[in-house]
Amino acid sequence: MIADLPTAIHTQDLTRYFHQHRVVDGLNFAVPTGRVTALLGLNGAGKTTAIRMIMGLVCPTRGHATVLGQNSQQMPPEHLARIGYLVEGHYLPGWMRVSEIESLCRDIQPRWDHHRFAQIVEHFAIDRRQRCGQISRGQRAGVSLASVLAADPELLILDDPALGLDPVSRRALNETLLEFIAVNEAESTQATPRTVLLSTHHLDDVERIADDVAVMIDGRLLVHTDLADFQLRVSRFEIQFTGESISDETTEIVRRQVSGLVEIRPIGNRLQICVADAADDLADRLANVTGGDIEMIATTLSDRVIAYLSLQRSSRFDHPLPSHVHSEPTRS
Amino acid sequence: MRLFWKELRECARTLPLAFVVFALVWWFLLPSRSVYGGQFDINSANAAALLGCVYSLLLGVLQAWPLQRIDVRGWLFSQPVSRRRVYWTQTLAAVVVYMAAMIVPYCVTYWYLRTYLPAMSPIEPNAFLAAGVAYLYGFIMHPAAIWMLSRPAKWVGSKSFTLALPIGIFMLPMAAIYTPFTWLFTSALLLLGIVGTVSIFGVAEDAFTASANMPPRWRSDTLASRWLRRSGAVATTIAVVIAVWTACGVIVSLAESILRSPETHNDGAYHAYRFQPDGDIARVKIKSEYDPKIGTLEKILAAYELPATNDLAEAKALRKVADDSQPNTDQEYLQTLREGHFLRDINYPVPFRLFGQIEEHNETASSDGVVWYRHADGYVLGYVHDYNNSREPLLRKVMDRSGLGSTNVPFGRSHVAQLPLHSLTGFSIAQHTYLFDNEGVYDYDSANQKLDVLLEQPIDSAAIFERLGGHGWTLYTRDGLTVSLFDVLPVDETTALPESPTGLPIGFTPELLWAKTKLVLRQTIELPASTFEWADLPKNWSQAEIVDLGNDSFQLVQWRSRVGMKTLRINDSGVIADSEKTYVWPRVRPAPLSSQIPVVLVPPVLAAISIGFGIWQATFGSPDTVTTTVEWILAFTLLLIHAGWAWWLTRWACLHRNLNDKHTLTWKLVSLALGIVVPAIVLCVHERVAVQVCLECENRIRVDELACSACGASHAETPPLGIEIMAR
Repeated sequence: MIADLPTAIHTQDLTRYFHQHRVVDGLNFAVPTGRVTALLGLNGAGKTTAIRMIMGLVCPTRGHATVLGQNSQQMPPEHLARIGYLVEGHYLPGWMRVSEIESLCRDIQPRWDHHRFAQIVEHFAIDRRQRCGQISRGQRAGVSLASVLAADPELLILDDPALGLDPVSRRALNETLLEFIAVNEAESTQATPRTVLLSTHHLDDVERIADDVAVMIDGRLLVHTDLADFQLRVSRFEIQFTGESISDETTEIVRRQVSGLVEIRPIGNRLQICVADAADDLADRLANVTGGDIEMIATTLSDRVIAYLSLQRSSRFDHPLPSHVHSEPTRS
Repeated sequence: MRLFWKELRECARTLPLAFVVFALVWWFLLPSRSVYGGQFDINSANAAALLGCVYSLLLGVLQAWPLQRIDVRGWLFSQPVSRRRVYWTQTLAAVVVYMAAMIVPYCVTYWYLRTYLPAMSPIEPNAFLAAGVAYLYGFIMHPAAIWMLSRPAKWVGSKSFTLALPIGIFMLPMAAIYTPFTWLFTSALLLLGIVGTVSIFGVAEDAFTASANMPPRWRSDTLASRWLRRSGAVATTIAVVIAVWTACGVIVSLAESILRSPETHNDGAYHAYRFQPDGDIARVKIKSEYDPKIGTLEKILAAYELPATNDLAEAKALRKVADDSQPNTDQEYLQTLREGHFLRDINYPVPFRLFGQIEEHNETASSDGVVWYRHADGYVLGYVHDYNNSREPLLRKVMDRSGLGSTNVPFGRSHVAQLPLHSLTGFSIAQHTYLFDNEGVYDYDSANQKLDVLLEQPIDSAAIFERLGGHGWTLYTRDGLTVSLFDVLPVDETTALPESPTGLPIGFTPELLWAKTKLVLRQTIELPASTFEWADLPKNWSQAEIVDLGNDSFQLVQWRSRVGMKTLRINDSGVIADSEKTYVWPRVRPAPLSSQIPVVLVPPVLAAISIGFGIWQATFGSPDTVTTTVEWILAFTLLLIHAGWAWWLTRWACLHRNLNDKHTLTWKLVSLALGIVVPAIVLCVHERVAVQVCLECENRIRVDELACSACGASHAETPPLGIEIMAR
């Protein structure tokens, strides 16, 4: 299990406020070494802010993060050389040519792999003489990925690498990433295996690439386990009622009776619920309380993740600042 | 190295614009250098300071502005390069571009102007010292810009406020250069400026490396950045030294004022020469005092009569007795006195007056000569002059224009002094000399010490020529637009006037040194009204020349420095044959540089300094400078009230920003010195941070604190929701 593995990234009570708004809330998070961890969450869940705190680009309001054994706010250049970070939006200086980007990176990266850079650039069909401001978004993502992977990093942090990419570019990016991971597993000369932290919205990519999954909701980490465990521990039931519709009273009874209720969706005379760590006798208890027919239904990883993600938009999971937290009075 | 090239190329994008602007500035400034070297120094220093500030600020903003985007910052700061190295690479690239923007346009402009400005002198290092220093100092705005943009604050708050500190530091040496303070004060300003400049670089580096949109860093033991602490220690040391120095000076001056007798006490008096009402001259001991209703007054403490003797050796001996110290007779000092208010002395019944214009000076073989002074009421005074003590009168001789010689009796008081007395010919004690002023032309017989009036008529300008047009010795006078030409003839008609010996350089003019002459009006010429007018230029011509063209005509040339000349060719009939305008240099009007930032910003800074100095002087100055009045007590009371008010407001601001006790006390102490502006500074500098109430003691604590600073209780963690799926 991942709890017992050595960690490449470790955060302790990582919290960040932007003015009075708490964006990341007490994040306790450990990314195991040698695994691909997918960080999931809706927009505004705090994924990017958490990654930026991990990279030392944003200072935490409270708590700290450790990356490859080093405090993220005090990472020296030789430590940064072990980390590959793909920024959200694939920024590159627009006036620089692709070849100049390579020259710059080769000059400052101690383990630069020219052949890998060339291979990835060719894979994305990029002319090296072109300026970065003149190539397409997908090609820019390719150059960014090439400059990150050619540095031969131990830890790869990808912040939404597929953002705004067309399907072809996205597939090229995934192929490159899978190839890097495969090479990592087969030919790595590193003492420690490579680790990948991937923030994305594409759940099918997660299924293809990731070993572990972590879900952030409103700045809090609600899920962090390996994919199989996640699928095993999140159950979806369907309660079939005899009437044409389901009363609010019935729905409220279910809410009160089921602990670990992630999602509840009335569909006609059926009630679908998603439960975390469901008790063994949950089906019997629900049958007794509601009088309906209980059936456990098979769902995909995407369904389970979406059930969690929908928490942020539902009224059920509404946790603003706790009552004992106050803001400074606002001046006009 | 690649990183440097990247930064250099990004900075170099501004160079074309910088080249154009800098070249235009040099284009305007360089021509003046060939005429007014000193003026060029000042103008170029002002321009360099202004350009340097603006351009370095632009470079800093261009480098730091993209880093406002966190993806740009993330890309740059995730590279395996220390942020400190990035900062200094950016600074180095900016320095290279900054210096190129200064040097290249100058060299190009200089080379181009030199092709048609033959008066251009070669490069003189001294001429560019002030400009170079000012320009280098202007680079302080580069780290200031980076500091400003790297700070996690709002634009309306401390982000913009950040720029005020470098501007203030920049003003320190500027104020030291442009204002005549004491050497101690000037040194202190320069030292503080240097310390501040170094600090700005350090603070900018610190802010840049920590630019992570973070909460205030001074929440724990880091009161300020490392560089700020260092520079603060240096500045504090300097301030302590200055304070001790000043305190010692105050103590010594107090002891002196108590122990020393009034006669030996240096009361700030000085010596100078002044006219007495009867036209005589005296050496006086003066002390300047300030009257709030009138201004600066001269209080005459003592007056010494100059020796009335023709014996130079005796005069020198007597002067030694009369002199307590050498009077300051420097030309600049005299000019200052002329512009002062000393003539309005109401404390002394005798209105002593200033020396007039020094008209002519000619040395003799014995190194003694004659200096002509002119009194405001029309006296013409001649003094034997000791050449080794320039402009130190030793003897006095009063000349008049009645032809009676040296009488010591002043002549008529109707004379209105407008035109200084000039010599038309060479001057020597043993010769006849032609003199003129705005009322006439005189023959000074130095052998008999007599002054004969040759011509009485209004004169604006005059000149005498051995030959003009087709005539011999000619006196030229001009009154307004009327030109009069006189034949200069010997009184004894049997004697011929001298001519220029052959074989001598062109322009040699023999002197009328042998006998008396007379003037006979030959011709009167009315010049056209437009003679001295150009529609697009001022009328104050600085020079006029008469050029003899030969047998039938001469030229009247009026020229104005830095602009051009106007030439009238006048033939023997008095008719203007032709006229011509010539521009010496391209008609580019010098740009007005009066509205520059330093000029605008120095006065308030100096006002603040002078107010502080005044308060200090009123509080700690020597007793005789303090006048305890009701107004002073009221002002002091208001000062105390103001300090208390500032203290209370600062306390409120610190509470509002939830600062700890140490920082609150620091700001309170600062408020005593700087007043009610400090609360505003606190609110601007310190970011508003979210706070929460401790569940144990209900004190307000910052959310970035892990435990309550009052009771030590840990923060309650957010309660679990029961749906967490964590690895087991």
